[in-house]
Amino acid sequence: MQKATLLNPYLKIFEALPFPCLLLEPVQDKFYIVEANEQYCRFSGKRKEDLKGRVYPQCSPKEHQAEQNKLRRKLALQEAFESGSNSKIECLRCEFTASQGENDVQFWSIENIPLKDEQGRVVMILNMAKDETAGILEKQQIDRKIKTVKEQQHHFFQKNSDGLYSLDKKGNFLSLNEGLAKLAGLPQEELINQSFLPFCSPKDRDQTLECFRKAVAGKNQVFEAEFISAQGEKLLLEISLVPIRGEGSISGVYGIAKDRTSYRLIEEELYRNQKKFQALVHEGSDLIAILGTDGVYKFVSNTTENVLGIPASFYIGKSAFDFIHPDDKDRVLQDFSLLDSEKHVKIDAFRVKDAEGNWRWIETYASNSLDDPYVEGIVVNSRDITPLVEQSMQIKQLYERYTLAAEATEDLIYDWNLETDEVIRFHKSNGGFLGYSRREVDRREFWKSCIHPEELTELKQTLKESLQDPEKTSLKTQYQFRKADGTYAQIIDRANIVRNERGEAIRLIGATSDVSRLMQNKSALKLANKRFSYAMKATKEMIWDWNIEQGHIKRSGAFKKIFGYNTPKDPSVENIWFEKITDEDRERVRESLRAALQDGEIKKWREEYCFVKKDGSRAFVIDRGYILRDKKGNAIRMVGAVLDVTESRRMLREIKKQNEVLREVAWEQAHIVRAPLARLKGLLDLLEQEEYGEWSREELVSLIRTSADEVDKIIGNIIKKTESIEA
Amino acid sequence: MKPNSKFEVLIVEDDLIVSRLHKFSLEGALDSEVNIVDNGKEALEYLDDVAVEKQKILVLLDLNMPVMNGWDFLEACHSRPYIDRLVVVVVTSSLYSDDNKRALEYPRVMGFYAKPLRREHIPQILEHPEVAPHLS
Repeated sequence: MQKATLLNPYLKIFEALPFPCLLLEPVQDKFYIVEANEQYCRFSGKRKEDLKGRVYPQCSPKEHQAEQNKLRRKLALQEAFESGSNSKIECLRCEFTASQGENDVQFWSIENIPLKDEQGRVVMILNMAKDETAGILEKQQIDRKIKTVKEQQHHFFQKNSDGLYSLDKKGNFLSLNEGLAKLAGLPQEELINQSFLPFCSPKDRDQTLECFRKAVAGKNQVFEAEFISAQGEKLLLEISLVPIRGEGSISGVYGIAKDRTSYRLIEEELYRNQKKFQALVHEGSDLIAILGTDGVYKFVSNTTENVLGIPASFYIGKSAFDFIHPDDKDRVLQDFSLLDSEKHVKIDAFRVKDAEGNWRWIETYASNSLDDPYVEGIVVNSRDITPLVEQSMQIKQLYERYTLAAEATEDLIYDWNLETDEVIRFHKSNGGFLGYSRREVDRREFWKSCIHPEELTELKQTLKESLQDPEKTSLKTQYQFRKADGTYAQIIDRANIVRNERGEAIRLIGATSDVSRLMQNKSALKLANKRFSYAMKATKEMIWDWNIEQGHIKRSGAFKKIFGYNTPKDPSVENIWFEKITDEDRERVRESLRAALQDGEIKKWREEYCFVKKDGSRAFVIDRGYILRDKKGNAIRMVGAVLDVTESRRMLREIKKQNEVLREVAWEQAHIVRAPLARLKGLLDLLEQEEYGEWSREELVSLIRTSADEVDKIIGNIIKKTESIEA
Repeated sequence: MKPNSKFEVLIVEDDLIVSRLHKFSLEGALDSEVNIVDNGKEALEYLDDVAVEKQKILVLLDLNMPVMNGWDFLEACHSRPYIDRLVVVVVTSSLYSDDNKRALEYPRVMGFYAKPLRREHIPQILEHPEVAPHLS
């Protein structure tokens, strides 16, 4: 009754409370449920009737740690009951096994409010449970976030590679992180309360101090300065200083020190790289340009000035194809179009016009960089290969000449690649060589098979030794080679050995000559030489060979034999020859020779003069020479012969004299003979005409007879005289 | 007919028969005087005596003669004042072309014939422009 009286006015409120509530009655050491409001029934899922009279606390079989929570609840009740004051469990964690496997966690705050009677005895306890789950979870999440942030801050502060610190107004470290300790080269604890000034580089000390003072004065500072670590290492640091403000005054500064040392190195490296790039692009020999897809120049390197004599600015905005030789344009366009499907295209050499209007050969590599946002174009890298192309053309011409020359010679020219064992042969005859067809000659092992078996081994050995000797640059061999008709030809093989940088023979280039006929002629030549030698010994002619440029003269052995003089060691024309020409002839001969040498048209020279022999006698000589000249017509050599004609001249004079005598004799004899004959003819004319003049016919006949006898007598005398001359 | 006294023929010939044969041939063709001398020396002496009286003297000169041969005669008469009155025809047994050439180099030598003179040669000699006008 007393309890009902107590509760009546509040029951409606009790029922209306928006959270689960129970009214508990303490009986001995237990608390019985007297009333449960609607919210409690809803949360517990039980009816009031089922709850009333039950001992509190009731626990769900699904609740984890139910006993522990039960005890906490009971103790809290006990506390309220015993103390007569409110007791509260701020947070009771209730975990239930959920049907889906994931536990359902709820957080409740439970407040026990003792209800007292007039005597102040606790008769009831109002038990109110508030679901704090949402608030607790939110708080936990916030706590976690705070923790994370704190950890992050700690990490940021301590683990930051930049130096983070705070200084008091005197410049002593109040706090610092590992980053700064690392920069300073000292443990954190040793730096606390230490001044930053000892770490300032002398050169930047004043600037650093000034900035610190400004920061302490309330102005944020950012500057770069050099510091020196405890180990003496120079560091370039970017320092940010922010004043620490509090309670209207500045107590110090926060600082951030960023190590710019490596950054500066990188900057310097970057600068160098930029310079290198500029040098490569603008100062190199390659022409570098960026084209649009339409072939219009967007960028052109300055190298065009050096290579083509045209400034780079001239090309900008113009089509690259307008500068290409008309004969090459289609081909280049075709190659350029490949860039639609290929990243890189090599465009074979084509011609572009330089500033002087000459066509230069350039080779180009084009790369499609349209997708590269920094480029957005076709990058073309061109190189002036005009000298290379010209060289190539020259080489081609040389090769053609070489082939023609090889075709022109009777020799078989070959180029044997020792590394691949391939041989290229040239021979003018379509019929091949020594009767073999070209196909047969080119057959592998052909050559070896035709060498005379008795000579093959030695020949192989010679070849092997020559190729192995790095000093050997050429090789000459002679051997017999079987011709297609089965007979053997005499072969002379001359080759140059081409070696690599290690001295290994890599090629053998040579000529094979059929010298069979030469060999046959050799013996004949030997004989002819022998005959010539004998003839030279027998001749009275002295052969001479005058090297005009070097000023010396060679004379054959006949010099001594004919003229009696020994051949001097330094035989010049002046000191040996001219001084021995007789005085009356010397200047004439000297002048004649000088004039002949000076006249570039004259090839032959001839003079006759008297030469004083060693025995003092005079030799009458005919000196003849053939003048050899250089391209300018200067006499460089003279080859000639001196013929001693003293004897023949003497004989000639005698013959002339004798002829004169004979002529006179003949003249006289003719007259002697003709006299009676003339007489006879005259007399016969008379007889024929029968006009006898002062004579009778008989007298005429007698005169005729006398004249005839006279003729006969004269002829008889002539014969006698002739016979006496012959004897 | 009165003989032409201003023109004369002088045969310089050492062969007596030949000189007579020539004289016989000439006398049959003209009416002038024909004289014979044996050699060049006699010829000079004769001419020195008679030339002054003559307008023209035809000299038939042999080359090969004793005492003074024909060449020496030609040289010697060069200096004579009557040289221009002489018309010399060499009549020689020599067949040498050199003799022919040499003889014709003398200004007064008008002809060169081989001995003996034949009948057809006489008119050729007498018709010479320097001879013909003096023949009557």
